[in-house]
Amino acid sequence: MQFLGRRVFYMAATLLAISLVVFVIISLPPGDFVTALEARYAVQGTRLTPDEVAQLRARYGLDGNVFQQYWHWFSQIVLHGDLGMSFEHQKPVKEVIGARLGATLGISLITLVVTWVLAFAIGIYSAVKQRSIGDYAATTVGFLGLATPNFLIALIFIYFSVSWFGSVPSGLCSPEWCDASWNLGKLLDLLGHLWIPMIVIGTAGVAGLIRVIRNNLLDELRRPYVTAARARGVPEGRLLRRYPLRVALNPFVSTIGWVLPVLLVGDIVTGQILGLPTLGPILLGALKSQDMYLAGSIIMVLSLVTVIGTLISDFLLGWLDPRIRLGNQR
Amino acid sequence: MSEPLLEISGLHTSFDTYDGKVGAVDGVELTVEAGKTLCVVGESGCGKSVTARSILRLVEKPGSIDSGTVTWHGGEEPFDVLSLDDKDPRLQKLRGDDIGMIFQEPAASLLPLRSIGAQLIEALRIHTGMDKKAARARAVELLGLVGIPDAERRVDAYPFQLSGGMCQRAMIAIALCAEPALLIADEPTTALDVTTQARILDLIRDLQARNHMAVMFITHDLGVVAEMADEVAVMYLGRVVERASVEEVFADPKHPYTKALLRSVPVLGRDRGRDLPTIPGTVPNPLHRPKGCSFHPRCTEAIAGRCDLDEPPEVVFDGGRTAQCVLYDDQSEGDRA
Amino acid sequence: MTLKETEGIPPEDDRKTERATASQRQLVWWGFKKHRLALFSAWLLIGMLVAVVFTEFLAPFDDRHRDSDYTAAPPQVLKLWDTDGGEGFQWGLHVDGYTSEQDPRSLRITYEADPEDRVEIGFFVKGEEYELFGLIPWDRHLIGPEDPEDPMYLLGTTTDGKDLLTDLVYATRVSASVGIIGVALAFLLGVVLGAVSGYFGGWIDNGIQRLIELIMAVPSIPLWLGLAAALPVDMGPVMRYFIITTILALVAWTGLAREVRGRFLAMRSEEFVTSAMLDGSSHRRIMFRHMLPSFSSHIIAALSLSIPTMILAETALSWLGLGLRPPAISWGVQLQEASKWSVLSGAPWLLIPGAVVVIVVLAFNFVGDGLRDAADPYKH
Repeated sequence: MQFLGRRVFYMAATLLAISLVVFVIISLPPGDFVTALEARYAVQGTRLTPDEVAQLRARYGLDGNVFQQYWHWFSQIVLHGDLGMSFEHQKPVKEVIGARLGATLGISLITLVVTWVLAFAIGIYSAVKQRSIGDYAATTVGFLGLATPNFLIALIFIYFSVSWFGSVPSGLCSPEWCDASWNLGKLLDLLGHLWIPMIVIGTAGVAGLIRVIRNNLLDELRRPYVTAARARGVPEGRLLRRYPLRVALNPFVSTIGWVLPVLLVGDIVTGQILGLPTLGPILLGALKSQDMYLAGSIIMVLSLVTVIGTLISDFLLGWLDPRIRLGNQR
Repeated sequence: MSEPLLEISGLHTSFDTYDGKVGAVDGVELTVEAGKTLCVVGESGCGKSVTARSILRLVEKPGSIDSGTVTWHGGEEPFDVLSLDDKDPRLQKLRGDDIGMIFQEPAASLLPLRSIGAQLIEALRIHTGMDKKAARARAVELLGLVGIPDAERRVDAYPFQLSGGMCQRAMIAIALCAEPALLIADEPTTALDVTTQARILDLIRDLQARNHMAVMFITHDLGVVAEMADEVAVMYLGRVVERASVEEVFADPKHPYTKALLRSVPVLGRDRGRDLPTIPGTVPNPLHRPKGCSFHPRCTEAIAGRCDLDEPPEVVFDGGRTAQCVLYDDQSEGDRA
Repeated sequence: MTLKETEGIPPEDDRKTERATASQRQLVWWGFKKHRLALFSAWLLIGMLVAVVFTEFLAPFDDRHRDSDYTAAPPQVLKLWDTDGGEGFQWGLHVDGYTSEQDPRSLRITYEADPEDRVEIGFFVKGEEYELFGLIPWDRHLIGPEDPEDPMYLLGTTTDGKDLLTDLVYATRVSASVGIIGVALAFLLGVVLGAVSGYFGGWIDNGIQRLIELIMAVPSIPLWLGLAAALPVDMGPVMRYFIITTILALVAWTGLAREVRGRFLAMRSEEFVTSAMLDGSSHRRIMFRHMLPSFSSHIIAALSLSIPTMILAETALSWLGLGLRPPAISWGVQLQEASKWSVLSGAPWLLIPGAVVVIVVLAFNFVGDGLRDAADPYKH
């Protein structure tokens, strides 16, 4: 219980720290939301009176000093779930994010599962059959996958796709299926579109996890308890499953915490190139046009999901590994 | 009267390292007799642990068993362990059922993520085919037997919650769960403090008497040898240089290495006020085994022109004890005649 | 008769004796030499460093050189002799010039190698003037066309007629130095805090560790995206370069700090540290003169493993348009041009900088792994 409490406390502290940094990011570019609004009206030929400007400032909580502004922004989020207005989209940030959160999380989750399954199978094979041809192949793929930026993978895909098929598969569905209701055909079509983003987003993750699980498992296989278990007649298959594998599983659980931001960067890249209806391209657009409420909010939401993910993985680790759970009771 | 339980003959085990193939065990000859205790003694790196591991074929890459035989007489008919197929049921039965083994670092030899009870129950179920409930009851009983207090509760404890001595008791319980005919103890007390060490030794002796079990005890501690052994095998650089009963070894050591080892142990009263003798030099790198007798560079009785050139002969004395040394070569000629 | 012990010791081969008395540095070097791949990678990285230092000399042209006659022209093949020219077989380093053809409908220009048009290539040729290290005015280039007006585009040209090879050499200077300077900054911060934390222990350690944990728990990628995007748009390229590097370093230092702390903690109880303390050496002296050198190989390994992360981060950031921006050239900036598929399909050589990124990152990883194995022979 103490373990749980401490983790939750850390999470709260982390979120507070993140909110401060995000606020800094939002406030860093010169001018504020109202300045930008003024400029836009000016282009349209309307001039705002100083009174109107002051009113707008008060409405968006921009009239106080830095601390008051932070507090206004922070309390709006916590108390009202209000993330502010997107300048670019002329809509509340909440709506912009809400429309795309589902697709983002969906693609991320599917990619995560595929990443895990692949990395797990290859990593174990690689460690158990150390120095086999398969191991060398897996290690090579692992190294290459880690060294290749995911946008480069996307670019290579595009190049081959254009030179072989003459076009780039974009979006999440073909035009004829997009508006159709859900059925098998649409599902197949979706899967047909999904594999490219999955490869682009997942390669680095698979490569990294293969290396981690291979090295961990190799370390564990050399431990005395493996020899001891073998000496008492535990059969090989069971020996692997029950003993080192359980220890080597820990890094997988830790992945839950940090994997989301990594997937997101992949999502920005693929979303950008393939035109997916996900958060990535929106975030990039917001960052580039310094639509800071939108950008800051997306970063805040992502950080929140990441921190919660870390918390979940901490709990799972505690549940899996009695040393963590009972560490202080000796 | 003596019936052999385990016979090791011509065992060679080596390790592939960056610098070349290193022979850790270089032609070991040993016999363990049923119900008796054999102590294998020697300095670190003499190959005693590797010998023990070779018996159950636990030598892992980059190590490999190159040649020799390990004959097990405990079954219906004797067989060579080293020539068995990996999946041979006799090998499975040998590990844990016929032979139990305990190790130097008890805490590291237990899986940290599972309770000692779970690991004991697993072994019981593999070797006795008990159901879960019976196995658990038996596990509590065994833990009590090896002297773990409050076994009913400790059965669910994790290794990291127990002291080293308690972990070793749990290891012993696991090793003995199928009532093996032989217990291999690979320096089981080295990592423990002196009082715990004495208790563990007592425990092993008690259990040995109760189960009429043979023990192969690997140690570098001559005190432990004196306390535990019936027979003693002294190893140096991968070979058994002297074999004899415990009385013979302490009363009348033959091999110069054995003599040197015994001299380097303090004796109450005798050694007051003088420096303890040490063995000159260090154990040579097995990669560069000295020519001739491997002990001759450190030997105070070495004969130039002989010990540094020729392999020492295996001399068999009256009563069956042996020593690998040229000093007794004439006796062996006499024996042969 | 008996022998004295020293006489009996067999003559071991020299290498063995040498190994027993070798310094730590020599041992690590010997271990490292055994890793062929690591050694090869180390040479590659040295080559890269040469490109960072002698950029202007190695690049055939100036980075402002633009040839509007040849936009998106394919790479040329460097030839040592000539058989298809007018005069039969002929020695001489050269490339073939281009003939161009414009598609009347798409207006796209395609280039073909023209064997008739021979461009003589020479070493140390006179070309555009530059100042080496910003100090020494010079006009020689390692390789280039004998006549500076001739086209020599060994890796092809970009869509606005810049020599890809020249750009690549200039980009190497920027991208590699971002990695190295960034890691140096992170290292400074990490080593000082890690050393203090691990050496003193107690509440100082506790405080610093909590801080590191907090920073590590903050998801780094969205944050550096945000920070980079919040930089003023009109910032000068040099300023931008340093700020981006600093942002990357701020995110990376925690891992190094942990590594150093672990080492200090483990070493604090070693005898040589105790004896240094008893000798009355100052804390600073013990930490940085006694302890730090004893695990310098590990630190170098950790450093060379964190440089690629930094390089990849900069590349991705710049490619997304949030990092360095033209006129600054980095690998990421170069690859931006390749992201339009209509451009890429006609000019796949624009991906060459990507291959360079992969090779450099791999090389740093191999060197780091090799060093770590050499410093820690028992671990593997």
